[in-house]
Amino acid sequence: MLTRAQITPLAPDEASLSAAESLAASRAWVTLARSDRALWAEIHGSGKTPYRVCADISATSNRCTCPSRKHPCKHVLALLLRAADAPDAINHAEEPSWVLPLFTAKLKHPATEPPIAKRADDTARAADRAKRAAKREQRITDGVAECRVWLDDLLSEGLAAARTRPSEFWERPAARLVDAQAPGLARCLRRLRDAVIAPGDWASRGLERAASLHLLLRAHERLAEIPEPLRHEVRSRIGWTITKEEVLASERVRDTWVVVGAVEEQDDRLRVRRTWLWGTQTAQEAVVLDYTIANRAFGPSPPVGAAFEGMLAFYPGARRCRALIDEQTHAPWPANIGDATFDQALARHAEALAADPWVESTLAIVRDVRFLTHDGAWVVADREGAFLPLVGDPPWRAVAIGGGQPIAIAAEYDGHDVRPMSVWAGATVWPLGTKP
Amino acid sequence: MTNFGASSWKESVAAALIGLNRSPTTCDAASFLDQSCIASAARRAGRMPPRLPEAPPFAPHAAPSQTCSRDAARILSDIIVLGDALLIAEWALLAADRCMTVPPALLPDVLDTAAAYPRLRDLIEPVLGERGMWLATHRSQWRAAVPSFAAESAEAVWETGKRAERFAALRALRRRNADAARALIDSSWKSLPATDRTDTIAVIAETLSMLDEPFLESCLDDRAVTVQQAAAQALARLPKSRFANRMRQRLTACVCLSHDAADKWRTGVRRGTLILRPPAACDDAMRRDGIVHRYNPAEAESWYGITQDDAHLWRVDEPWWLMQIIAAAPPGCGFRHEGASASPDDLILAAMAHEQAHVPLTGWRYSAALHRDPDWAEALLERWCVPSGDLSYVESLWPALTPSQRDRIGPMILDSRAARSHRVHLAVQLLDHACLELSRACLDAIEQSAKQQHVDLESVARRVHRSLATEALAMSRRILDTSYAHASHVANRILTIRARLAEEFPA
Repeated sequence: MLTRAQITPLAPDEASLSAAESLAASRAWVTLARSDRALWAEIHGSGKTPYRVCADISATSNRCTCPSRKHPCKHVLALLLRAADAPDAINHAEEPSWVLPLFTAKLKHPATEPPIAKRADDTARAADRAKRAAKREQRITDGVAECRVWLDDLLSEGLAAARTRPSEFWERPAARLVDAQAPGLARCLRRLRDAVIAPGDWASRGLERAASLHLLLRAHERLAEIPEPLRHEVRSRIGWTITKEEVLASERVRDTWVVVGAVEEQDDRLRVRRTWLWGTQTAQEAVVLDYTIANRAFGPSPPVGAAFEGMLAFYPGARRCRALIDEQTHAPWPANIGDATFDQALARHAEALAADPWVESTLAIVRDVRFLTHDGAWVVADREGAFLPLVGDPPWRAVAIGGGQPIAIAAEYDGHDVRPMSVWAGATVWPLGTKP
Repeated sequence: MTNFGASSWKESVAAALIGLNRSPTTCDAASFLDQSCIASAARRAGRMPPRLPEAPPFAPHAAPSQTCSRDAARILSDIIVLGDALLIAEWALLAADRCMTVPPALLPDVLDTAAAYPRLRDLIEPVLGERGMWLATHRSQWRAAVPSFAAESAEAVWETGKRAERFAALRALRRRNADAARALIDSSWKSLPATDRTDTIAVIAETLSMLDEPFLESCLDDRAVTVQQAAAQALARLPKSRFANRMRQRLTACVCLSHDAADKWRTGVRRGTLILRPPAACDDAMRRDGIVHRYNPAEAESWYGITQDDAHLWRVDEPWWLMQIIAAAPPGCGFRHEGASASPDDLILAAMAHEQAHVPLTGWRYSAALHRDPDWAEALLERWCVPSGDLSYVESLWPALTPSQRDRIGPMILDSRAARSHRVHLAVQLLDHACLELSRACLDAIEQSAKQQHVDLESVARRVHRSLATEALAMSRRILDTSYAHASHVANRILTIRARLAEEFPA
């Protein structure tokens, strides 16, 4: 069962939340019941027949018959809030048939979609598409060449000089890359800027990012020589996209997946959320990316601390890490997941780097770690005393939960320091970084 | 050949920093970046985490098995999401009664609250538990926010800390070890600026005892007027102080209840007559005792609640001095009748018949509130404030009443003719410290007048008796539905949480 704190971020906006608050305490409820995996209710709305609302226990999927275009709608939120406030007041009952689609519905598959009727001008369209793609290739190639010159100049002039430049020094070439239809490269360039203007060990990080960008530019020049899976990585990093349908059409992986962390970041004008998953049997990490703009809420995603039996469809690439969640059923949080030491977690990072030299961060799940101060800075140490520095503010919540005793941690590791996302002891998982 | 060693990476970084044009490296940018790619990947992939010199010691205590009930933890976490410090304090008060502590994951937020709100620290400390105290030692602002720790290091903080920290430490020390606090004040008194001296006396006044009397008495000779006045106000609350004695003597010379009149009253003909003989001059001794020489609108309003409308009554000095003397002594002091003091009711009725009624009544109101004298507060409200329609003093006298008195006086105030124009405002005030019965009456009064008068629903939500939160929530929804009141969902959220608190922590 979710807590209020986990429900609040699901709301698409503040209005839905306050509407749900009033609704939860109102007398509009006709029925309200639960089973081990689901909650459902009938609730009076403006129509004659009451709306049927149902939600998975972990709120990973939910449905409502109301016509609202918001998702989740206020009825779903009210149902979850009510369950959060008084979980014991809801009676167990037999699931009605209308709750079942919650667990059987899947994302739309290309195979299940009715085939689009062939048209006479289909071949003409294909030719058109090929022509557009070729045009884009040409633009990108030009953009890459221009960017290489810019990058070489940057190194010749020195990073120290670049650090003092005004923002348009970086924005102009980034905008040129966007015009060249290579938004991914623009993103790499902005990350290089972020590294160079950051405090601390900026010169070393800056050179790393510059080298990574250089490698990507070179890889594009020799794209034909690169083997298939890695070529996908290069193309996606440059900015070619692939549709969800294509991803779902590829092979999928079944496992018991645990949601170990979620990180939100501002990426130019977009906000991106990385939800990290770990497959307990396949010992494989996966990341689900969601995008949104301004202060709009993200789409639904399983909350940190959830575990589910289900299928993931991976995007093509050398590492196959980015994924889409295809189907899921609630499962208990398994014991003993992750690595015993940081050495093992770092070895995973090295493996990832070998498969994909552009990898930014990998998942590190280590059991029995402790948070402590070393030389005046907070670090996280494993059972052997190996320690890594932490990024950002001191991890107070984790320190309070650990209390000097060993706990398990899930973190993003970027080759330098770790960003903790959650800690757990036993089956109780605490997400970090957000409000409780 | 490329060398992957650390020194070569450092050289590369140095070259990149100053620019290849200026560095001794001979290769061009492209091949330099080629090499850097390999070196960077090798560096990242080959990284070994550093080791601690020795295995880190475990914390001395085991994980807390039971901190608080699951529902209590949920409520606290929802309060934190709402970000309401006062509700955290309410939770702490209730949890401390049942020996519960804050669950570890929520400790940082609770400690942050304690750090931000010095007044809540004493409430929060009992629910921190062993884990919370341990956590607080790791961060200086949290350490300062735990009164026990603050008291331990009070001497050092008092010497070198920031202003707010210093007074928080002094307050903490004074509550735990008043002698040490007195010694600390004595040692540094001479070097403190006047504002700090005034604030120090404010801290002393929070937990006042006769042991502070000699010090406060000496403060009457302070060169700063604000310090003098603060000391006089504190001394007025100590009935056995030399200050109180002097006031008593002054009063004996200035006022009395006439004997003849009292006889007549006993036979049921007339009530007593007050005789007021204001002092002829405000001498140095009176000024030393904090009597203000000239009427001053700002002080008169903030201390004695005298509004600008009544200013003309106080422009004459003598009544103004007399009122201050009456205010500085315990209520009713000096008005003796055959050796025994007359009852508050008699005195008030007698005073109201006097042509200078405002002099004794204003003084008594001030001292009744200062001494928290329930009988006087009740008599003043019942005999003077309600009949005369002057309800501006309800707020200051209300806290002095006992619960049964509040139950009796509350409806009287709400139903009085003078209350009509600001009934909602009064009802919200009366909700403070009100018992169930009266709280219900207040809620009814608020709802009845909600259409005509503005309702501050948030104040209602905070002040209403916890066990009536559900009823108040229903009322608040009705008000929001039917009036144009500013739709405040904050009030509803506060009420929802307080209703859950009432359920989780039954009285």
